[in-house]
Amino acid sequence: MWMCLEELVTIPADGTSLNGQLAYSAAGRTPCALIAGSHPLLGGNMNSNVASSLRTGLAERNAAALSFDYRNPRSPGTSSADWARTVSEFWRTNHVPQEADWRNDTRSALAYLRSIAAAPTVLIGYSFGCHTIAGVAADSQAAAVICISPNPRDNDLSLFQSLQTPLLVISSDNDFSCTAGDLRLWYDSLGGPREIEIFSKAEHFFRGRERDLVCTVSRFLLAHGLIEE
Amino acid sequence: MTATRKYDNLVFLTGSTGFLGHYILAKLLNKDSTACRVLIRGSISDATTNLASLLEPLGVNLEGHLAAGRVEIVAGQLPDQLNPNWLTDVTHIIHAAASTRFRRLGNDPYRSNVDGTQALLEAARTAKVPRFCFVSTAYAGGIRIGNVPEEILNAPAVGCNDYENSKWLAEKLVMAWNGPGRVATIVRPSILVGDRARGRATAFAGIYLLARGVELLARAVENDRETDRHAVPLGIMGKPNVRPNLIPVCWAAEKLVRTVLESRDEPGILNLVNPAPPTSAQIKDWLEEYFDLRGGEFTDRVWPWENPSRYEEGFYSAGESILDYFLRDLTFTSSLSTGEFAARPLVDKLHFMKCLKFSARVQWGRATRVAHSAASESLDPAWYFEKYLVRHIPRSAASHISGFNAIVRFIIEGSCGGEWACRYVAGRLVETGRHATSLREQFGFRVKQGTFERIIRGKAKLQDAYFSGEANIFGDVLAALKMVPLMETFLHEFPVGLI
Repeated sequence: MWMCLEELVTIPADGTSLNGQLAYSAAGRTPCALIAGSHPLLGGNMNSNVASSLRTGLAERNAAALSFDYRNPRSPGTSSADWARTVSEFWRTNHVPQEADWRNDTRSALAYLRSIAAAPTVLIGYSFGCHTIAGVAADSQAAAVICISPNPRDNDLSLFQSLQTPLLVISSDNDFSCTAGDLRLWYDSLGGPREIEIFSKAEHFFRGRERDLVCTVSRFLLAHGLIEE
Repeated sequence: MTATRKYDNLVFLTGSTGFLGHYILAKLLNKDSTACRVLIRGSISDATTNLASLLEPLGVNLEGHLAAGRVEIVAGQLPDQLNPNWLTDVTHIIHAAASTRFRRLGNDPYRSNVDGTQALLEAARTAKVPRFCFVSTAYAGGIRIGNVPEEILNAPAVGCNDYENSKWLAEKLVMAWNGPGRVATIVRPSILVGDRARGRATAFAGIYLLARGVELLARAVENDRETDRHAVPLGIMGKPNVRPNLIPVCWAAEKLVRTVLESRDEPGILNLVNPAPPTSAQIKDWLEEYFDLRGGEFTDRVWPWENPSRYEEGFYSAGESILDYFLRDLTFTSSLSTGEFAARPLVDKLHFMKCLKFSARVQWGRATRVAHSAASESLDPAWYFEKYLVRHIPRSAASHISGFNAIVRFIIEGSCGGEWACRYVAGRLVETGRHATSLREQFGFRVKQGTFERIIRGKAKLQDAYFSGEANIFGDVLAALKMVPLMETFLHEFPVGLI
């Protein structure tokens, strides 16, 4: 284990900026990991238990890890009426037009990470974040991709089908967002090298299981030579 | 134990602060030969105050009875806080305490209704109490069509809810308790409504939910200039000739007490039902007249149906009780039926209207316990949900979320805790109900009282409380997560302590 340093960073994105939190070890930064979090209209943020535990957990294993907040759906200048329309739409359809912006935010965060750390990149998506990393994984030349609690029923994850990068899928046998059948159907449709780890009764949130989650991710990265023992 | 032995009967009563329970206590105290030992939850001083205020409108001076040693109050809880000494010298047990939760949440209603009954039966056996009366329900086992005999069903019916199932399980335990020197009676009241004199009620679940659904329709129509209030497009699932079995609470208590104190030495089951209940069509007419609405039509369709009107969506969101009342086509065998009834129906239009007027006057139970606790710095969740939220939500941006339709339950755990269900229609908070059965939730949050306070004061976040285990979500998790930003918006706009 290495000592973990953390700092708040500002990520330029399409003329605006995103808040990010970067963790890294004092000894070095190999590899670097981008953590795309869950849906901002479902309470997702860069300090969720999954994002923060992975960020610090990977930094302690000599990686640099960045999590970030998608641009705020209620940023200054957004009228109450616009915000109400957005949330109403989300209640009706589970989707909002801003999701295109959030995919772009993920691309911006990846560009930022690469600008500060020249190292193999690992893309980690959590929940809705699996959808946003799907958009960048194909052309990112990532060294590995990790999907945690993916929801292929509600989120388009079809871009993973042609992915040839090593992929780890982590889910739980009682994830409210995705049945085992839906997950298996999607997983079986994938073409590249992949493995899957199903946690028992960890729900969607891995509450109290964060350490196990970090260990599982670390084992995968270790097996692919991306971190050292 | 100070209850004297000068009385012929010493009745151990559970559920005395309930709707039926406090009427039972009043009826027992009308019998000169009877003393009562009353099991309550929580502190004796609080319960005494509560019970006195419940009994005072019935003309019962609790303080006087306590001073005379005719009533004793003991504090405990079933199934695991029962002192065997409390059953010393007891001649009769009336077990009226129950959880009326229709759907399982945690261990209830089974813990209260089955485990609680089991514990009391075992204690009664040990203490050699000769008579045990279990207050069940005419719907035990969830039968939906046909005749309900005064027997225990062989098995619960398909579609039986958890409340009815728990009562069926408890009935089996009670019947198995019978033996030499032990006689158990099961009394099964049907659907309770307010008393005959004033329509007075202290609980507003059951048929009252149906009435509240109609009241909400009336309020919605008032705000809609395009809809004629005498032609509201509402399909009512059910049949006009079905007879929901309504009985006045005072009548039920009187019959129950008489059955208990005058029971023979044989075990038995009594369906405590109305032999000539009103039809669904009559109840519909009375509700429409009271709320000045027309347009509802009975239908064979099964809710939810395609393309419902927004009035139908609002009406049926009040919960499964509404779905059931006009559907169950039941008759009841009752050993009370012969020679027990006068010519006037037990529940007629005059009485039903009294019940509606009384309910509206007390705001369907919301007006009874709303106070900011002055004794301590802690916040009373009742004040928050029933006053603060109602006052401020209309001014919040969260109230403009037109796509937000949900019933959300909040369970606050702690000494001032309780349960509140909030119904939102098109983002607006249209109803807040207290207690477990007030409304059927889509999802809910269970929060410890201290955490709840920190959250509503803006000093903690619900999400953080969830991840630290101080809060939990139940029901539709996705919908609960969708509500988080709405709550955060409101809490940001209106944190308690800054208004």
